[in-house]
Amino acid sequence: MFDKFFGSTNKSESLRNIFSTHEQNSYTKLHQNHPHLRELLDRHNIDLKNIRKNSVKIGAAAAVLGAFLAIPFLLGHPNQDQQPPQGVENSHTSPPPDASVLNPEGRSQPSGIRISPSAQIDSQGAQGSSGQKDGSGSFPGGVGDGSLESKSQGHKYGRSYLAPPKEHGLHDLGLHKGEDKGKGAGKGHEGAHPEDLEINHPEKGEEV
Amino acid sequence: MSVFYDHLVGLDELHNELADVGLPFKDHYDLLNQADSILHNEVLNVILIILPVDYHEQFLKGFNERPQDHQHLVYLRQFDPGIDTKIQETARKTKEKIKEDLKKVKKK
Repeated sequence: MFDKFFGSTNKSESLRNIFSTHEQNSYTKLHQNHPHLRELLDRHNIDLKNIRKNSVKIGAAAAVLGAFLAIPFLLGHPNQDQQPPQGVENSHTSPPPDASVLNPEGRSQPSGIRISPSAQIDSQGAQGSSGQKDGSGSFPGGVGDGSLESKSQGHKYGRSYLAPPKEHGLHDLGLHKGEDKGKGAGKGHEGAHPEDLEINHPEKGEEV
Repeated sequence: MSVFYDHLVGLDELHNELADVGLPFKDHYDLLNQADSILHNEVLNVILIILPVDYHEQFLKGFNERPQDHQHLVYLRQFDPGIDTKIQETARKTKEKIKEDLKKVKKK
């Protein structure tokens, strides 16, 4: 074992000496053939050995920079291959595969993005309040895409404008419990006045 | 690849020869660096031979600023269309010398 270790050390040493001799010879030959080289190198502060080392550093720096630049890109673009939840999958009509839109970077866009905001406004205006039930279509990122039949998604988006309206619709009509305040007056069936019905209650002592 | 002529030189053969010697990792790469430096000097000698002296300064300045730029090779071909072959040949001869020395050490 020790023989092997010391053997490799001896080999390393002898190889180092041989390589150093070669290196020195090549360096001497270069400067002998081109005597003006030293002056040029000094003038521009060039170190021949460092040219290669610097180029390696540039490559490493570029790789590190590229990795840092890629982090926000990767974070901002989750994998589109993830399967949506089961309920969502069943409830929406997915477009045909050939209709998927590819952006210039080659990623497939969520189908919700293809609905332009102006088109949505038009469709909501045409459908009136019934169009409001489809709250998912108005989500800009298309995350709620395909949840047409799902109930409130406030838990998902927080209580923001993104949450679709509640199904009972009382809040939208301004009808809260105990707050009718006669808004419904006049709408009910009034019926005829008791006198018009000719109902005469018997007075005291009067025989019926 | 770190320099514009690396694809004409190649250190794979020397790397394999050194691997056969069975040196420690650090020694192996120190020697490979020395071999690289030898080849660098030899190739630069050939380049400066084919290039007129008046252009040496401009070339060295550009080479120092952009070592990887392949346009250097395009530039050199204007002075000698066979520069690629000359660099390859110089590298081959230098590597042969180094390999002979390696074989001598292996036999010890």
